[in-house]
Amino acid sequence: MKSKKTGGGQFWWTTITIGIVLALIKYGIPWLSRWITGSDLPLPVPGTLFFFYTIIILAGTFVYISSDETTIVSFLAPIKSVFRGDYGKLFFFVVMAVTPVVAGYFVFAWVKPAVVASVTLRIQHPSSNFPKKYEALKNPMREPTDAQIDEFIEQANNNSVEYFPQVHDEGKQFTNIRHLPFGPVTKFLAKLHSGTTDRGLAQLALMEKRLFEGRALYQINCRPCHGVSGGGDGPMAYGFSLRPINFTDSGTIDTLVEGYTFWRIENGGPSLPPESTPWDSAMPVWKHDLTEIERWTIMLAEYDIAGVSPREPEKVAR
Amino acid sequence: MRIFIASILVLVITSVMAVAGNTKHVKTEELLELGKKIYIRNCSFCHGINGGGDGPVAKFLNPRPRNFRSNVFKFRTTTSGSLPTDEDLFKTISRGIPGTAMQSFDSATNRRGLTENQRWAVIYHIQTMSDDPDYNLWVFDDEYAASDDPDDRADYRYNKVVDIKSPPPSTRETITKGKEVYKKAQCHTCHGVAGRGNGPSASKLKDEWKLPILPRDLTKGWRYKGGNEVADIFTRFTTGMNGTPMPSYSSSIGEEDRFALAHYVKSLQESVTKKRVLTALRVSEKLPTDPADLLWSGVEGIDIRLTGNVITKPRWQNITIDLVRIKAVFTDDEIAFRLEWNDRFQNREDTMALQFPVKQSAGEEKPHFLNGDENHPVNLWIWRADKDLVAELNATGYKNPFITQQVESQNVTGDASFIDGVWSVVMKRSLVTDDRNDTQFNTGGFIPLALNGWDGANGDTGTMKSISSWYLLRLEKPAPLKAFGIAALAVLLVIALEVYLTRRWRRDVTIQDRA
Repeated sequence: MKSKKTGGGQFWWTTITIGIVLALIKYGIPWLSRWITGSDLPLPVPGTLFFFYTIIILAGTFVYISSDETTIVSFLAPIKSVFRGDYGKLFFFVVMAVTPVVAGYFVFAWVKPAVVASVTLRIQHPSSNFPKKYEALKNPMREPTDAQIDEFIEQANNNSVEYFPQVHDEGKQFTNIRHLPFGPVTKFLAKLHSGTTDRGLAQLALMEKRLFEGRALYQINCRPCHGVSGGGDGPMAYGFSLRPINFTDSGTIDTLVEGYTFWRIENGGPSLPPESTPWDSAMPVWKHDLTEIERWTIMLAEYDIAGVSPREPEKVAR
Repeated sequence: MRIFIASILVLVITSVMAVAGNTKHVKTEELLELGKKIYIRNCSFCHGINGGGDGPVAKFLNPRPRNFRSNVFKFRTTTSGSLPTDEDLFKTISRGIPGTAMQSFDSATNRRGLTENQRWAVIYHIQTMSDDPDYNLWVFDDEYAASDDPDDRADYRYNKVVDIKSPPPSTRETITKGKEVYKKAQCHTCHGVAGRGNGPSASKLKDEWKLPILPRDLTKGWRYKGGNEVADIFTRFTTGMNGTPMPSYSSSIGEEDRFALAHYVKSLQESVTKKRVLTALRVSEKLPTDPADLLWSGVEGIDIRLTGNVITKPRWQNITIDLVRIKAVFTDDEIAFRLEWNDRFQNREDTMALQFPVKQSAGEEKPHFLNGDENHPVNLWIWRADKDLVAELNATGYKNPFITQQVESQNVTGDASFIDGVWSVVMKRSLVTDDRNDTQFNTGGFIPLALNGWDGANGDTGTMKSISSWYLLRLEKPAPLKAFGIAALAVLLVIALEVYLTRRWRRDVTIQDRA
């Protein structure tokens, strides 16, 4: 029997190419999504997308193979050899027996009603129910008023600087600002002791105090999930299927206006619209547990810890 | 040649950088000043302004934050009772303490963490906080070296006892030998025979401040505070953990045996699946309520991770039930679940609840994973150790109390066992009931499933509990006859095609041969 073993290259190249592309779709995309998000679970990719990619690749290869006579011949050569029994009787019978079984298995798996989890494409920052009145809100803790500065100077003079109850911690911690080793504070206090008050320094010192207080509130209330450095990696984070937001990632709090962040803190997970899967969100409704001014103070520190600034609200002409 | 020189240069530069990464930064006044600022901004909220371990976050945490004034440090490479080296402190700050609130502060793992320089700065500041002037290490290294006082020169940094180059490889023999050492050194009196931290003395342990302290559950690799690698484990035996009942074995067990022990302890760590879908196995026999029934061993389950309830007050970060292994089986009429979790101490208040939505929507919509919400009630099957029975409850949100169903609606049965630090609970019900407050198990779909757990000995109660997100339960429908038919048809078609092609191509060859 004359064997035609030359010219079988097309078959192997095609098989290898299809194999590589399918492996890329099946394992490459999930791996890449895990690598990008740093999460254990791959981003959901719809099954139909996989299906269409596969069809496109198969169709593309078919078009290529049938493009001219020589490729067809080259592609079919190894298959023909098998059918002609060029590789021996045993091999012929094994292939002839295995192929229908494999085909039957795949058809069965395809036809039988499989239960497949539906894919959730979640919208992280929904705006469908974001109340417009929050859009232009500004953090009132950023710009101390004259009255607040006066009050602060007086409190600093009397060693009776006020802190939020959680930070004050039943008097165990702070009644003044002497523990803050930051330039504006030490300069302000030095001048105060020598009998002069510098309002500019007082304002800066007050901001240091607010930042410190905001950091304390953040560490008490937000740290368990969002992490000590804002990385969304707090000690409680592992247990939630929706991972707490990493504030240091671009595309989170730096792309949002302050009013939006404030609204999310105030109303938590339950206020999200269905497209943002509120049932999976562990974000508490903080209006139950923190006052409005405490929440703004936390936000001051939150942006500082993450090292980002909020987006400026757009000025829309009415 | 140029490429050769360039690659040599790259090699030299990278190795210099690697060495530089491990050497500590020179202690200067400026660094101390910087360290103080960093400490106040990043550490003081837990460890306290003056290092007393008493910041405003401290009262929520167990274990409590370290008190830097007491000179007691757990994670060292130095002899028992002495201070850690600067490098030991650097390591702790850089990688954090797993299973606690102390996170990694390494800017390589956390974008807003601390740079190396900042970490050294804060270490030098922490060392100035000691109450005991002898331990007050703000003195610069060169002053120490030049000191007239021999005590100063016999300083803590010369008490290093562990210097691991590379641990010997793990083999079957080392692990077997390690197991013998574990027995001989009586590790089991605290850590338990199977290593679940449930030895006979476990409940009586106190730390240096007379506070109760628990021996590590060695099966949970993610909770090894000093790291779960062989070298870390070896270091803990060798140096002991100051302030805790964990002693140093450097003089009582030889180095080779300590390495064997470390390999054995490492082998106790159990792996955890990351699957989010629990597939119930369809069986034909009657479902058992006995957790030890042989049926369960043939069923593949999943691991559910639980975390603390930090969603509603009173919040709770100090959970012990952080993993439940769950399996499910079903028949045409019934479904049964087996839940297993490690618990050091059997307690009357131990409780576990399985949660399902009352109504399953066609889309993605679910009740909130923490006990549902006003519009989406959940159905809870709750097992309590004191009553040793399973009750059916409903809940409509984490702000609302659970409602126990009427006696006539109670139709979940169950059984539990507690063996060597493992609770094993089976809960069973019919697939479908006529109670509209019950979840109904229809095959061919996904049913959300979540857990709530309370460890009585840990003081869990009310909302102070372990909680999980939604996982999914899958009940496969049996394949219909039609599917078998179509598959058979496909097989026949392929065979026909094979016969046709074989005949045709073989004929071609004969024609060619004739020609």
